[in-house]
Amino acid sequence: MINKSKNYDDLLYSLPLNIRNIIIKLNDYLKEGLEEIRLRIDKPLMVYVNNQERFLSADGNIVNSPNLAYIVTNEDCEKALQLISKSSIYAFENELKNGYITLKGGYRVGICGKCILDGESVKTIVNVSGFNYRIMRQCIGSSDEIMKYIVKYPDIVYNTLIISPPQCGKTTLIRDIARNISNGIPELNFQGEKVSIVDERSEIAACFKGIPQNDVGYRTDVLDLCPKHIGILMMIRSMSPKVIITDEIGKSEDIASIHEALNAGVSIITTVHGNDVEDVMRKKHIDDMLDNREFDRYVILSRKLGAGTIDVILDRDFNAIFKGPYRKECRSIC
Amino acid sequence: MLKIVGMVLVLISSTLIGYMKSLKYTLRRQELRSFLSNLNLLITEITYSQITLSEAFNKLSETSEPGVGRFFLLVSQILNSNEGYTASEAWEIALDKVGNINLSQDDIKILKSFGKGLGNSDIYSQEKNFKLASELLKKQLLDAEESSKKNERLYKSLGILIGVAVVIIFL
Repeated sequence: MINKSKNYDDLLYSLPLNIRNIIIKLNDYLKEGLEEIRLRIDKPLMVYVNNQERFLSADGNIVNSPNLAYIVTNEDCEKALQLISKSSIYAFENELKNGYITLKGGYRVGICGKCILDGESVKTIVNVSGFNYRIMRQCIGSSDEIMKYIVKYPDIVYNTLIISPPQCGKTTLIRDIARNISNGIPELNFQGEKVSIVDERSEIAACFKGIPQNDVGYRTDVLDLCPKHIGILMMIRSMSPKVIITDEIGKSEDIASIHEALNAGVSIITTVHGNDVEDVMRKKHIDDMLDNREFDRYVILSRKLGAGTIDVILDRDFNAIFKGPYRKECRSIC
Repeated sequence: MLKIVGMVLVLISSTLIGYMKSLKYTLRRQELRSFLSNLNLLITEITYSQITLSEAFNKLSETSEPGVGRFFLLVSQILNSNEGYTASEAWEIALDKVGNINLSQDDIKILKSFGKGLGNSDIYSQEKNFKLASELLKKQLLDAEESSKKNERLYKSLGILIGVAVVIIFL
């Protein structure tokens, strides 16, 4: 189910010419499995492809020894920063502070270098020496199988907590859930409801200039780069959502604003780091929500069959209503 | 009869040459003024709207007068061609390529060094770079105004006078 129509143009335009020419020469198999391109000053050019880290030579071949690889120059890195920011670094100061810039097409570039501090917070990053171009692939349909546990005819959306260790595809899953709720699910006679996404790190919708680059459904509003606790309240007031979707909750103010949402009759779907319910129970702030049975469903992910494996789904009293492991085939999950 | 036609022709052409010489001074003044006001708009777009440079140049090309507008259009085209050029490279290439521009070497030098700092830093540094260029361009504008005051009339009258002189000699 990988989105084949995705071409790499917007990504290539943001790569310095030398490296762009190398990536263009990659064969189709590598291109399809491409997950990350890594640039580090004076270090070999590396790609993360089909779950393996590889060196790339100047003629676009995978090489085993770093000595044969193309060595990224200082000039490449300077160029890269300019191209990523469309030669307008001033316009991306906020993004630079966070350490990444989202490109058109939903690609994202992580950046590191020397931080300039302004009191406690990072003012900007200079002498940028490392880039991580990430190719995000949307896995459309990854939640189809489990939607029947999350929504119910005619218009009920259960409060759902997705519990997952890092890199197991929770953002991918929550994105697809957003799409399904928003567009409606004919098989379940579910009409589709207004969805608001509070996307603090622009990971769910991957907005470029405020426009979602991922398909998150046509009844979906996205508040990009907004802190969760502020964003949830803003969305309740302004967009009258039926469901609010947000990623990685944990702070006490997040929980407080989720309570606001629940009081306002809005359903919430969110994620948290952890291996299982017991793990989450040990987390401050969230444990109360579990004790008070505020969530109706728990979706627990693992890597048993690869990233994006759904292990088990629990109801509000922690009884299993779906037993996995189940995984929708998807070539790459970010 | 033929003689009179010839004399008139000589007179007209030498006058025109004088006018064209003096026009160069007028045009340089106009272009400098246009660059100054456009850089002013540009820095507003940078600090206030925070749009990207290619968008800003495109905007400027629509509003500024034809000669300078052509230059801004060229910069934005080079940037949008996605051939890996940075804004400062595009600025420099456009300055070299645009042609038909009446600025002096010094003017162009100032514009080029302004281009070097374009887009590669935060708003604060962008503003500083702009202020420097704008100060220098203002000086050039004063210089242009002075020399155009002096030379415009000089070349105009020189054109006519040379024409008259040639006519007299041939008489």
